[in-house]
Amino acid sequence: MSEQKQFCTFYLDNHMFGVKVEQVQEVFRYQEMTKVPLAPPVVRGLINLRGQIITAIDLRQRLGMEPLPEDKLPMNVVVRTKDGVVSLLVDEIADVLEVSEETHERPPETIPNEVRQLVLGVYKLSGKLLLILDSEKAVDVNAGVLAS
Amino acid sequence: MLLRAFHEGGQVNIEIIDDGGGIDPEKIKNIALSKNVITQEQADRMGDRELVNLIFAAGFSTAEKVTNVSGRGVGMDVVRTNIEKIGGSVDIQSVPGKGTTLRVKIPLTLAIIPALIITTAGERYAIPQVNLLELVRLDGEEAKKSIELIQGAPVYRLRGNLLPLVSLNDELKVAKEEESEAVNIVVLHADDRQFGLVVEGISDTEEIVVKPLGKQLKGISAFSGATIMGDGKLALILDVMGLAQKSRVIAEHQEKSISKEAASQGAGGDRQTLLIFGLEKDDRIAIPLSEVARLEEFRRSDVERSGEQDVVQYRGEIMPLIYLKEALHVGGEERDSDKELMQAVVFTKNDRSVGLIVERIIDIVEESVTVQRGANRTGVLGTIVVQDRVTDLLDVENVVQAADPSFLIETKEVALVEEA
Repeated sequence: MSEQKQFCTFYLDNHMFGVKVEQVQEVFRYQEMTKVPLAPPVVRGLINLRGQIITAIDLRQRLGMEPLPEDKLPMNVVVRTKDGVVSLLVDEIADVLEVSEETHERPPETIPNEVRQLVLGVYKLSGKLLLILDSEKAVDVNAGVLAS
Repeated sequence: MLLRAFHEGGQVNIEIIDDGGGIDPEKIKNIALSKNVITQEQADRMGDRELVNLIFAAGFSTAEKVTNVSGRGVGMDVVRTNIEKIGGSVDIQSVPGKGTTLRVKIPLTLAIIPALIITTAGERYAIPQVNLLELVRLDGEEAKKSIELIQGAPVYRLRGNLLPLVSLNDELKVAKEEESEAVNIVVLHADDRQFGLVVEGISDTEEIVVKPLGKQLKGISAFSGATIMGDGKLALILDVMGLAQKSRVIAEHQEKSISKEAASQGAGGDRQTLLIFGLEKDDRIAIPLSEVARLEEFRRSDVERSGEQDVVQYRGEIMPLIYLKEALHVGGEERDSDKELMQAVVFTKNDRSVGLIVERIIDIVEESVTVQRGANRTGVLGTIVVQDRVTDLLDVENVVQAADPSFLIETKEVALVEEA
């Protein structure tokens, strides 16, 4: 009897990432954002989500990856965190996957530090790896700087 | 009569308590019945407290005479309507013969606020109306003429008072969208300070619903929240206090002390005597005469060196010299000047003196000092208007300390040694 977990998966620069499905409120296509001057660069802007104002975080930049090519528009994965509801901008949204705990492993020490800090673990799927994102840490953009 | 105000559960409570005759519920009931505010059936079911609260009902009045304005039963109704409009409540309790307590509860955070919508760099921003004083628009030539620069910091004379100007584009670090001839100034007040915010366009006033920003953006002092506009797009709400602090319209500690000082001297009607001197061709710097021990002239040939410091022998002491031009970073170097005589303002503190070398002494005037704008560079406390001329107020202690950090400290040590 192995425990099964469900993850909402998405792609970032050809890497498959996932967040726990319970943390995801919804996903939606690109929506216009209001830029916030003086904001940390990972904050791409604010989105009006049915009257609620949510912050959109550029997950590529958060993970130290190259920015998405200009001609492609990111998609939104809206997650609930203890810091409120936040949208994570990703390249593409994939399926909800059910994975077995047996395939889980801790993130290897050799992956870049920015990524390793935000990755809770790796699931070895057939043909690819699923990296599990620590969404709480990912939205804490002031981490590292002194929290004010 | 007792007036109390306090916080409770996110609300501001205001209580007005008297120990007068109180309100007689029977009397209220009879009047309410006679004016058809309530029916007999309703009246029978009402307790004393409910009856007393009838004074808030529309059309209710105990006045015997009705005039154009009074006695029409409008007053208390308006009070309640307006308090309820902002999400508050008002309640009255009365014991006949003992007194009456009126309790007003107002929510601390008013979610809906009137705001001025402005545009800059293609985005809309909302400025809460509470911070707004007036709008000034300067066209082309007028803008060029009436905006003056003090060491690169723009100021505008608003009815004779200096108004420091802050560019919203600069503060938000956004590029100018359009190069326009006209300048729009939004005159704001933060604390008791006024400043002018230069924006690209002014749209309209609107009632906006304040929505909080996510924790990711909490560190930005320039914004207090965001709002959703009629077209579904977002506008950030400017935090006027934060902007003022950021642009150093309100400089932190130094500024406060000088404004207090100025308030105690200026507002109290106390006129202060100022020594006006200059460092360059036509600048004016002031120092309170009370800070000046005396004015001296020294021959350049009398200047000697002690380590890094230029000094002169003065009244049996060795007095260090500070070249104010260097200290304030203006003009050429004083030391190379070929004038034989140097003007020195002698500043004395804790039995020690220092000579501030200036280019020329201009005047001594008596003025009530009100600092018009905050300091934008070190060594200057602020800017004042003296004899209709813009004049910088020198921060003597700061300048002395910057030039000779030991000046103020060392005296203490010396004193300690002497004590020991």
